[in-house]
Amino acid sequence: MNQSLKRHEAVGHWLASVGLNLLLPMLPLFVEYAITNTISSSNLVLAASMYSVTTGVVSKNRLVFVTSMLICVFYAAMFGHLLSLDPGKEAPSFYASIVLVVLFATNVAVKFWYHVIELRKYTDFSLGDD
Amino acid sequence: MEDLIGIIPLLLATVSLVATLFSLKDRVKAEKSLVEALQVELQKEIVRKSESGSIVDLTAEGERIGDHDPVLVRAIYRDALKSVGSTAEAQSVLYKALNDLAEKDRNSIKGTLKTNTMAGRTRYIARLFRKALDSYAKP
Repeated sequence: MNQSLKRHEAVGHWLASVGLNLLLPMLPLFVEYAITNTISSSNLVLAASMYSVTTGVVSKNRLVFVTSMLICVFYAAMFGHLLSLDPGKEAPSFYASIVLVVLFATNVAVKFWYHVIELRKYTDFSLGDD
Repeated sequence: MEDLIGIIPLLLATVSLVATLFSLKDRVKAEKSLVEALQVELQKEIVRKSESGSIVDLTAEGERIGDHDPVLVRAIYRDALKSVGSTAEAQSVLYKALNDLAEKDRNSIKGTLKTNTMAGRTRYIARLFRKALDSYAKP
């Protein structure tokens, strides 16, 4: 079986990973925006919390892991805070949208590392291989 | 007040992005060092296996037989290196090359080799050898 992976194939695995692992989880936000033309602060904060934890666990860098966990805890706490606010009051998003973009960029770099530099196939699941 | 608190995750996310980019840069540098170390070890191996192992000796030998074709000489030498890279010696060449690296670079490459799947590891090592051979004496 030919296991080699050409550069453009590796880029394909990277793009598949970005699409399925990074963009697909954002789908609820995209749908909400498509329907209401806005995204509620509580959803943004919850998404940022979930997204940061996934960034931390896939990274190989301890600093990234620690900072991602802190972001996760922060937004989890803020989500609780937002639920306690008066529904009529305008809710702050704590820059969650910008943080999501920065975390997305971090994840894209991590996926580049895995798929283009280390030549891991997107479908190269460790349990099914070794 | 919310704006002030919101700066905290923004700063943390920026730190995480910068740390990832620096790690990525270090990882690319580690691989470059390994490819260079592989080139050196492959040459040592071919010198050890052959009396006319170095490119200088091979060129001299080529001229002695009246060939005067440096492209052909380089191609033959590259084939000799390639045969080392595709045989059982490849394992010892890889170990030696890894030992030639600085500890930080070695740990970075070891991380890839340890956490990858068996197929992925094979694929990655083959790519390293291919890079080492391709960048040396391409005919």
